Amino acid sequence: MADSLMVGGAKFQKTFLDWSKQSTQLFVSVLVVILVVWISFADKLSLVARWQLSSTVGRLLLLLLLYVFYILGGWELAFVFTLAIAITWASKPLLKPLDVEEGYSEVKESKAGPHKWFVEMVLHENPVAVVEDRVQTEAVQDNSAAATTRTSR
Amino acid sequence: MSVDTNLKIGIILCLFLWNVLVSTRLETPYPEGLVEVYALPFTRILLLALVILSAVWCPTVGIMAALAFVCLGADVIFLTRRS
Repeated sequence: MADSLMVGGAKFQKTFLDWSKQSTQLFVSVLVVILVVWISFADKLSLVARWQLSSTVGRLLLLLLLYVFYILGGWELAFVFTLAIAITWASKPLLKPLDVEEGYSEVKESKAGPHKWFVEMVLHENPVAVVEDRVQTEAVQDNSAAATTRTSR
Repeated sequence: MSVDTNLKIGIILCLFLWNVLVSTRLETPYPEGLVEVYALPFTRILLLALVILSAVWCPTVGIMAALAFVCLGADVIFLTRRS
């Protein structure tokens, strides 16, 4: 009855409100799926992303997002997002990830053989892998174009 | 008290004891099977679904289950991390 009385802008407003309600539900549903994947595979996030999200700015941003999600989707969405935050913070890398590649990064690992060494038997050690102890290193070289006159060369 | 209330109290107590066990030890002795099963994506999603469903059923149970889930996930990630 009320729908038939609405004309022009009022009718359009109701249509828009209905559409926004439906789109919010769709938005929340998609977000929950994304959050479930995030929680399940939080350890697969890149080191830099996990480090940034665990920094002071990242934490404040996540807490702000948590409040926004609570306003948008209620406590259920906020609950799932809290789980995602907790798992992400728990998987923060121990050291700050560097852009440059660290030395000894090409060290190969091989599975431990079935036979134990004497020392391993005596100390009750159960190694799962053997790390190669020979690596190729290079001397530090200065490739910069600028030269200084204070060197002995 | 109804069966539902008794069930809730029982599960809350069990989860509380489990949380105390896993959160007060530096090296939590998780069963090996649980750690191996947690590596499977299906298990993670199933556990998460259980946590969400339990939160819908009873918020207190959900919070306890979420704590247990986070402790398990954090410990497994910490123990299997490479950096």
